[in-house]
Amino acid sequence: MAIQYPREQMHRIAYTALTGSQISERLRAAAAGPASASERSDVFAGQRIRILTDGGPELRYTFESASRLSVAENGAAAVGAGYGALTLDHVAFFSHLVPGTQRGYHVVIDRDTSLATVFEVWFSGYEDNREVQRQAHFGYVERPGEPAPAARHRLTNRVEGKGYYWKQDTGAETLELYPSTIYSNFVELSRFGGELSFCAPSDYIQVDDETYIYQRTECEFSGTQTVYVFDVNRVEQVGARLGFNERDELEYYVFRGQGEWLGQLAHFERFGDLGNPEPDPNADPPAKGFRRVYRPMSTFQTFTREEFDRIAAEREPQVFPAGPGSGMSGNKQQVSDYLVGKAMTMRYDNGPAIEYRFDAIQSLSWRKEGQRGWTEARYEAWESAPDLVMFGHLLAGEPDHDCHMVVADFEHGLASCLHGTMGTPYIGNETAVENLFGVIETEGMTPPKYRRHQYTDELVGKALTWNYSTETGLTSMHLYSTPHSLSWIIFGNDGAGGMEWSGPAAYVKIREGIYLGYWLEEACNGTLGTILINMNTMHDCGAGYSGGANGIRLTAVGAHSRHAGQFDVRRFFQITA
Amino acid sequence: MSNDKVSSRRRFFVRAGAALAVPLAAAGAGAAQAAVADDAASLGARLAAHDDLAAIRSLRQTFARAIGDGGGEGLGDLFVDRRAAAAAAAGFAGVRRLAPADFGEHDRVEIAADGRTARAEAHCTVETETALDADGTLAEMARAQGEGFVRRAGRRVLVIDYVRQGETWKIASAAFAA
Repeated sequence: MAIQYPREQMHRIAYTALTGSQISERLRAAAAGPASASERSDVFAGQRIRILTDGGPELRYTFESASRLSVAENGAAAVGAGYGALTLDHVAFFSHLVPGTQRGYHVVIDRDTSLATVFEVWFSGYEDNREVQRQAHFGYVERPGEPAPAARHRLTNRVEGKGYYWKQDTGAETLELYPSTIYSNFVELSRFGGELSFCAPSDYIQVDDETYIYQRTECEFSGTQTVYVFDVNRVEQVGARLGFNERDELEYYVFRGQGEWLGQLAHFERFGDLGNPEPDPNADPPAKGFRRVYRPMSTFQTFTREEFDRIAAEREPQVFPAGPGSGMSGNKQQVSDYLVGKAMTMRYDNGPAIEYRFDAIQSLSWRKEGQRGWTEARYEAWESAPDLVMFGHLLAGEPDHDCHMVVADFEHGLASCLHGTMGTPYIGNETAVENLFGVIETEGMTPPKYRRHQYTDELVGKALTWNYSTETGLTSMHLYSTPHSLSWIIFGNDGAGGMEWSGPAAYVKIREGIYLGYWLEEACNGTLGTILINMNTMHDCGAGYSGGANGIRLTAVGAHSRHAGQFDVRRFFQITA
Repeated sequence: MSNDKVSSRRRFFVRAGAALAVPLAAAGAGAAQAAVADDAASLGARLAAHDDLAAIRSLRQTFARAIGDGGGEGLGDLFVDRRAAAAAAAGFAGVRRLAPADFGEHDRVEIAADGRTARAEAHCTVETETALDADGTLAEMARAQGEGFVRRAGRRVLVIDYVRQGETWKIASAAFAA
């Protein structure tokens, strides 16, 4: 059966702004409880339990059967609801909504210790009503005659760096990578064809040394929540999915899944830091449901193409300006004079032939083959390895505010170019890119006729940290999550992985251990990032190309790298048919 | 405990005949010996000198804590007037921690001969935090997670001028040595 690729990937879908009443209407079906592809557990049937949480709700449950319960919240009258329960060894999970409301609970109970984590969930708690809100409460199931336990489930960084392939009993297959303590990265292999990875704010909670709870909400997308408890030894999961899909249909089901461990990335916290610091008694507690969410489109100033053309005409482009800029050039490589005094043609198989005269260390002249006049441009070049140079410049006069970032390998006579352009069908000042492959023609060198730089998946699954400035400490981690996407993770002050986002990407092998890559900050800040990664020097060079209210900007990028590990994911992206 | 007044025990104070220039770490014995040597003074003079040095040191420690707490209101009562406090707050903007260096071995306090003013030099480890001066996606995300600051640590010499107001020492000015 053909893979059902979506017409639009997740970041391009214009999800409906559902009203509160539309959500209430759609939630009526959930009164019967979540669907389940697996047989529901009757572990609670016939039982009454009371769950007490620290600062959260007190819940009295009466489980009439494997599918019906009644719940009394904080001493209020009990209401009946459908529910679904599943077990994972000593841990039981159940989920239900409260009929007539937009609220509900996912509950994880360790039957050995009686400790419980209660996820209180609700809709219409943010300007985007469909985005599931959540608050994790930690507590226990009361055992009559026994004192309350002192221990609790707790937030943890013990999951950080892990990654799994999961297959649910629904048939849904995902890659779920946890390079952060507050975000995660997921690849929808079956729902969206697995081309791109996406990122979502996430919670990680430790039940015991081998059992953890994971929760993510697809904020900025459908707002759907996925929550599950999983066993890292057995690589099994039980959980629930709650939300509205791209067709605005309610997805509410409990699931069981099995997985494969894909690898473990490094931690960068200090030794002994388990990611569960005591709360600051002097700090105000965060608001209920608080979580850090990266919402790039709320800050990206967008323009139509016509508007941006006017801006670009009025404002001088900033090409390798001095100053901090994006903050990503503090550790850039030394600007190279390798090209100065040389003349050559970059002849691309799938693009134009560009003739160059490199007049000075930051000044070149270019023209398309067949043109008479030359156009001057400011450029920068960096020599990543002997006779391997990357340089970039704008192509003034071209229709799309074009930019060329070129890797020229004078040892092999090969040239590859990332041809950036401004404007997409979605946003006028969002960049697009195409890879051009070709050769260098210059005096004294005969380039190959057939050999070219080629796309590669050798980076896929790898994670590299990038320190952009020794002075400012600005550091991120790249996770080359799929052959067509790249994710970046911002570290917190304690070295823990923090905010994360992802964009379309591609990787080209230049030499052994040297790769040309790009990422597009689509539906984000619109920037095209281009880098030549040298894993021999663990240093990169390149540039960021973007457009905004100040016009076009082309700024240098350079950072020192560390290996952070690798996930075994390349096998999921092979053509198998 | 209020930090707003640091008083010396004036009933024991007898003005020293000469300025005291002593290592703060050895404030007790060293100061007393200096005072005794210069003035052949009484026990009262020695104790007064001791108390002045202790008060000055305490005021400096309170000042350092207030800077670490973000300055602002905590500084006001330590200074001779609001203008001086505001000037110091501005001068120490971005400083997140002032900690003594070398156990105070190189610190000095000089009390003027008339006992009305004093100057302290304290070697410090200074931790500063300034907003990241960048506007790209990474910087934006760092700010979104409550960070986006550049933190640095270095050694500086803190110079504080004191003025006696009645029974109490106050800070006239505080700044890092150039």
